[in-house]
Amino acid sequence: MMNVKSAFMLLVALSSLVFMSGCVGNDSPVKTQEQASEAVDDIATDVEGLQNTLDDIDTDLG
Amino acid sequence: MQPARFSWNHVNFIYGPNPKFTMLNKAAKNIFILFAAAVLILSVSFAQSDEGELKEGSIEQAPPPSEPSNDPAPENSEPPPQETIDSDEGQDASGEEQHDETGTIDGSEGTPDSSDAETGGHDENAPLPEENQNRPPEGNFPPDGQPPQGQPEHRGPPPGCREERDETGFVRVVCEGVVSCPPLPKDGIDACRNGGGVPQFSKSPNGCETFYCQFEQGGQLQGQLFKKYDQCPSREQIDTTLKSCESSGLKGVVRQENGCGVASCIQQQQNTCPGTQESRARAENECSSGGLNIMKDFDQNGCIFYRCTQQNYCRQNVEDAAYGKCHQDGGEMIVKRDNNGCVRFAECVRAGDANDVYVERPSGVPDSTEVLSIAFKLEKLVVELDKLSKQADDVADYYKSTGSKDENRFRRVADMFESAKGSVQDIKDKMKERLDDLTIEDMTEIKHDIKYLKDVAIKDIVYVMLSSSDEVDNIVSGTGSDCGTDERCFDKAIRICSPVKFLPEGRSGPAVEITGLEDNKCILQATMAQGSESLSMTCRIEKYSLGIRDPETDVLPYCEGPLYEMMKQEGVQAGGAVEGVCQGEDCKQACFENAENAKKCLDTFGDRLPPEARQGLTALAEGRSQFQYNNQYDQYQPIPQDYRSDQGTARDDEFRSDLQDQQFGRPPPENFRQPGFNDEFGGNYREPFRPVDSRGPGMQYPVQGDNFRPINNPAPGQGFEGGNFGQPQPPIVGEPSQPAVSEPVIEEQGDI
Repeated sequence: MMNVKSAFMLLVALSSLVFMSGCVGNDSPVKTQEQASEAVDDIATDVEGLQNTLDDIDTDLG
Repeated sequence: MQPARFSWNHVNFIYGPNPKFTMLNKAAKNIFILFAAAVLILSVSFAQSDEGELKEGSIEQAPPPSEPSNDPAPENSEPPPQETIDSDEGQDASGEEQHDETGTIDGSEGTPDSSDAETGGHDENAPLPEENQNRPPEGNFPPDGQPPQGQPEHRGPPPGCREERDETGFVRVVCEGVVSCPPLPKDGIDACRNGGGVPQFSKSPNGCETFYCQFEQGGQLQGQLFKKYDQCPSREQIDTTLKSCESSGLKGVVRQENGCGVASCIQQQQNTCPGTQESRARAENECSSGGLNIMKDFDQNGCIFYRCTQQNYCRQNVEDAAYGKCHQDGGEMIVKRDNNGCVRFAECVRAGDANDVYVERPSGVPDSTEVLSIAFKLEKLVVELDKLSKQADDVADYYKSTGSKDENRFRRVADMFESAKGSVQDIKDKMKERLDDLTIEDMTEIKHDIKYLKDVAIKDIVYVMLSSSDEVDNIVSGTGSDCGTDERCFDKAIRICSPVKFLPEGRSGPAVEITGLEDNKCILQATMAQGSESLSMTCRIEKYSLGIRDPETDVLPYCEGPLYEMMKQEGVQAGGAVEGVCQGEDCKQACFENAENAKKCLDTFGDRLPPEARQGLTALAEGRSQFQYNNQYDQYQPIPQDYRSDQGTARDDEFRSDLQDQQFGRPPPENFRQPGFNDEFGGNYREPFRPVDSRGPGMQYPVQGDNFRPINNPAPGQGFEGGNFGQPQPPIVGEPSQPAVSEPVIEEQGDI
């Protein structure tokens, strides 16, 4: 019983600390120049898909 | 009874050797342990954070991508290029292979970018950034500069073009040379005039003039600071204009501008490139068997087409013609290669051109099934734009952590995606609200919004993200530039929140300045003289990337300050006050009431008045007006031609249509309707105004808000471009008013 309670408290405390330390809210996936380059690459490629979708909508609108 | 005193013994006495109390002690111990553990975890967390920063710092010191590296090729390098399955395309691999051995990129930039771990098109199975930690840095080619065995060697840009590589591995191909503009369509211009229209000209992004034909549709642009039509053309007026276009051999289109849908005629263009939809549909059909990719490519004429390729297809080069065509269109070609030297991304990037956004009137309204399908696609867009906005923010955060000014670039990109998302949501809401009674006008508006998103908003985003133009450099560095009186320049600047100064009515009118981005909002400051005092306002515009299509909804809700308070009361057309004489709309009459008022109005408005009005007021002020002899009619002079046809006191046959301002839709002032006026002057009350040009309304009465400069009759030396845009002038802020006559017309913004 005691162990369960301790474990629970430990869990709560750790979660709070992790949250308070900002580790949860500040987890940006881009940490290196290489990843930034990759992200820009992906954005540029995905924009092409956006334009195609807009083209489709334009066609649907007649 | 004595109060009980607390002691542990007492507790023990009452509760005995209470297990709960024992637990409390143990819990305290546990809490202490937890606290210690937390301190330990925090220490580790900070240590990791420091390590990350060190890591980033070390990356900044890494050799640039173009420098050779001894790192081995990545494990997931794709095999050498394979044949395309598209044998019927005239510009396929066979056409490109002949260029393979022709050379490399000039100078030290000869090695292709190798930041990507995949080949060909976008691979959805590509490892996530976190999974890529073991990849070698960019430039995995041997030190001798030769590509690794089995990898394609790509040639450099065509003559007259040079390459610039940025830190993200994108290569910008900048071409020099003069853009050859096609001749203006003389036949179309003549047809426009003969049909009763007014030829208008605007400049494309490549600097060439384009022609369109404008017919009167009942509304007039007003406003010093922001232009807005006093009334929108009715459906009948739009239909009439579209028919006029047709009968003149021109193409009738509808533009959404200044808060109204306005019809105009454009020259039927001979498209140099076929539409891409057909080739995309064909490629989609060919790729439907699976395991294949749809790839965008350029043909021998530099035109875009789509092809279906194998997953590991390697596109080696971009057609030379594509560079030339891109330069002709006023853009810059952006190319990115993967580890293997295969072209992964190639796009002609340029800022969007709002003048180019128009739609043909839809033939009908889609049924509910089609509307549902469109709604799903719009929802998909919202999700995608949201994702891209977050991705761009992540990149901005990274650059912030490294102290790079590129943060500004990507923060804007993120905002622009967010604005585009908002715009799509607006379209969705619009469709939802009007679902039961969608009209052709609604469809025109929605179609226009979609086209604007595609041809302006999305193009602007790619432009800001990838371009190295001065304009984008200004955003990155935070330095400002000057738009002078060029409204098109200002509209473009606000779409990307580029710091600029703008004088919509020349140096004697209001001054507008975009100062930059703050909390994802574009900050605009405006100052305008109101009588003897200067009013100002600050606007924090949220959806700036969509430009100012209707100032009352796009700008004013985000403003604060005395100028805003005035505009809130008087509308965006507000402006103009003469101390002790009149304010706003009243000035239309008060300035002409007597010589003293006329003099004060002249002193206040100066050269902002159109020549005709200035002439009339001067005559009045100097006592030369022919109406001065009769005080009874002082208040009517000089009489605005605009009101003659409306006030009903003159015979219909007195009014030549070409002398009326057909755009002017407001009712005449009440006192203009007083009897006796027409009898007294027998309808001959055009003096002292000079005749107007038969091609359009030449004179407009000084109107509150339109800065007393007629839309179709600009001040000497100012001219107009694209309808109502003044030519750029050297901005001189804070100097006393001077006549605009002597102002030089400066064509290029960069010369200002």
